[in-house]
Amino acid sequence: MMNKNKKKDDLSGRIIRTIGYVFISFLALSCLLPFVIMVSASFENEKILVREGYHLFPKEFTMYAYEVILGGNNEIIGSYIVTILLTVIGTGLGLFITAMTGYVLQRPDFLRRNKVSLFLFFTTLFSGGLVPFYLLMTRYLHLKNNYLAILIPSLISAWNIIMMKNFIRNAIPHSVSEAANIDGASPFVTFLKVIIPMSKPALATIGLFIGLGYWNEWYNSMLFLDSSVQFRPLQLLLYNLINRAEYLKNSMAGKNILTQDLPLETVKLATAVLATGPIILAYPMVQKYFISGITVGAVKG
Amino acid sequence: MKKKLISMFLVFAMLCISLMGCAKSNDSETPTNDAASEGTATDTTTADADNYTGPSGNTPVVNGQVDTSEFVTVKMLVLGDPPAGGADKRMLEELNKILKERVNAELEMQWIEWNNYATKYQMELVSGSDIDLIFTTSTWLNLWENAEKGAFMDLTEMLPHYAKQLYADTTKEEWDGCTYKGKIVALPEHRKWQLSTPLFAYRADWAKEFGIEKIDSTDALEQYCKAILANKPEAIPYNVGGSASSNELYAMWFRQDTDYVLGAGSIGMAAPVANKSIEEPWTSVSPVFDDKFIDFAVKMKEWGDAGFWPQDVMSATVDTEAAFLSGTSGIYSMNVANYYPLFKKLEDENADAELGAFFFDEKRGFAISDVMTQDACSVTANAKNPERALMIYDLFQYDPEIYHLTQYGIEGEQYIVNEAGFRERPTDYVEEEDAYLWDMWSTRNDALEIPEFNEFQAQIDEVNAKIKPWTVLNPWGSFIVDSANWNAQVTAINEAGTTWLPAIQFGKAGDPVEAVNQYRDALKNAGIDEYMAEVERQMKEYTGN
Repeated sequence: MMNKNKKKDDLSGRIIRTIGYVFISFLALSCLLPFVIMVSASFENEKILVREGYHLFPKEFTMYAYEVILGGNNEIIGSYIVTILLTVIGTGLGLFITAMTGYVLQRPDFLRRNKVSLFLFFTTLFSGGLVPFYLLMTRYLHLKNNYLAILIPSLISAWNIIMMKNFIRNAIPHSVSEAANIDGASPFVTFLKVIIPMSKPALATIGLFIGLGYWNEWYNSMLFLDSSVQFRPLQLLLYNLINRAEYLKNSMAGKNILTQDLPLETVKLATAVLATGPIILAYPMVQKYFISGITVGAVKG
Repeated sequence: MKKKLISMFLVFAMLCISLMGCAKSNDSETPTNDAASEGTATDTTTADADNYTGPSGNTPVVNGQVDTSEFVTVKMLVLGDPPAGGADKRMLEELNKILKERVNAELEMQWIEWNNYATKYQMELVSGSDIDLIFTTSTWLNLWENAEKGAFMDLTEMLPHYAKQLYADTTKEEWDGCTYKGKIVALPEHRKWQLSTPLFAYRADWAKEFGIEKIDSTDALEQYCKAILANKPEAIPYNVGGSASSNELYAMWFRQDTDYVLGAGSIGMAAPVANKSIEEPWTSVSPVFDDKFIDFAVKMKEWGDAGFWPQDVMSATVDTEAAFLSGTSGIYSMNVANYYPLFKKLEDENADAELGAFFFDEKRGFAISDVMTQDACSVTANAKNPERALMIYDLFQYDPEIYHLTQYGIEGEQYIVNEAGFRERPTDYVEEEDAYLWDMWSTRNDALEIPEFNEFQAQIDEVNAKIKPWTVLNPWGSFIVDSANWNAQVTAINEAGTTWLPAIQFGKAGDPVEAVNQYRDALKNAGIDEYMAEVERQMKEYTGN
């Protein structure tokens, strides 16, 4: 009897698992396929692409699109450097500040912690809006055409602080801090030597969020960096390249512009490949922390 | 209890902070207005024919002489992506040498790139920018809305003193087109003739082959398309892919079969709201509710069924230009500006082909010109040097040396003038390095142009000679419909239009009579009647009767 039951379980379990795997594989494929097509089309001959559409593998392999982008001017390389610098500095600085804030806000001996938290989290619900933000940045802080205008606003996000705070509260008992204190560590040393090493999963997760944020940042760059800045973040450069055609097509502004100046399809795709490339490498590095980190944020938060 | 109080206080405090944020932004707008009213105040007190101080005071007119002893930097903002090779900067260096000599000033140029230009442009204005010369337009950059907010300086008093040539060369009617509530707030684009008139390009050699002398009516077009179906198996009469913005057949219909004109109050590409006629531009009507619209729908169904365009027109994507050039499409819909370069393109692709144009407006014999402020230039209310800015602008448009420098770039680098007097590219011209743009479009002046050599100049002149007499001044001038409270209706009407019109004009909406009725219902539900009544009310208010 027992045996039979177990067998039945096995069978239904196997069916469910099979369906699950098939479903997940399908999902994974449907995510992967567009990317593969994008990569393949970026190596495709322009004429074939326009005439016959996309293929899984390029019919006529050519590096032309990449030559167009990379050859001639060093704008895209400068943009890469700017974006990488912004991402590295922003992520490092952002993580440090987020972790410190999160740690302090969860310490039970910080008396006003809930009020300060409220003060921070209030900003997730209400904000001044675009115009006051623009005025603050340009008229009062004078950050127009300054890379700091990109760096500063994304350093702290209330959402990341909530995640950090909850992680530390749940994963690191306060007694750990107390023990460090008894052993003679100052609060800052406790934070650096004890708390930071213990919160690696959360740091990896939040670091990835912040890093992605900086990597993909274009809106603030669009607002604050105009054409007099020689090297602007990568995403803005690409956004300009790809969307110029759309803007002009859909607006009266196009009247004065010749359409032959607009970029080729393959060039657009090649730029997209160049934009996604490096950041994809960040995923495997933080993968092992990422899964535990995400559950921390999701379930216990 | 205490906790609750504290948190309530905190919430209150934060509300105050966020409100302060708003107050701040209002503050920053106030000086804008102040500056504007100050400006006018000084104007009126010191204005007389020979002596004038001007809003900034740094360029007074004394005994009829403009005093430019103080060196100033004029800021100018245009829209567009600056040329990658930096040719604009090299031009600016040259220009500044001349400006220093002529008006003791230099020019500083800023560009707003195309991506999200509307947001960036508006931000520049609300942040109380002190740009002197700023590009603007009433068709895609809200000139009148911004004028209403006091973003631009009143130029009425200054113009005769500082922009003498422009002032003398502009008629009262032309200034009226730039005037908002009695103040001239923009400098018009009025010395560049251009007419926007839609047409179908067709193959004149084919038409002759079919025994059609020329296509100048819907019937001739039908005959031509039928002949293509019968004689040109490789071609589709009109090889096209439909989209939400397809309206060419509708545009053809109402220009050929009705008196309606498009202007103030028109909505979207489908344009279900029009104006009664060129004689009665202040009456809002809908061509869709005309009985002739049903005939149109029936006709289009007939054409669609006959195979004048692909059966899957509504879902297909077709490069009609490529198809037309390679001889797989018999007609190609466009505006006249795109027709000029077509001579060369067709010659390159197929030397035996001959080009013809079916102008929809030919039958009625008129086409409404763009508004004066299609491309325009304003001076912002916070400008530091409005007087010198106007002087420079005057030179841009009327001084041959500066005109050629600004429009074409540096002679020898961007262009040379050959022996025949045509402008052409120098032999060592490299696109990446030497490409040059001048995006203050409103300064264009036909009188000072050096034409580029064009082997098809004769054909282009012929087209222009034909359409130039059609030009009629835009009857609506600076009137615009204020639809701030009608956004819901406008969106819904546009939605109904883009849903129904492309399908009806390609005969793909099922039974045509039924489809027209459904389209009319959709428009009625969207509030077209109320909207048209509102448009007329505003028109009455504007015209004052």
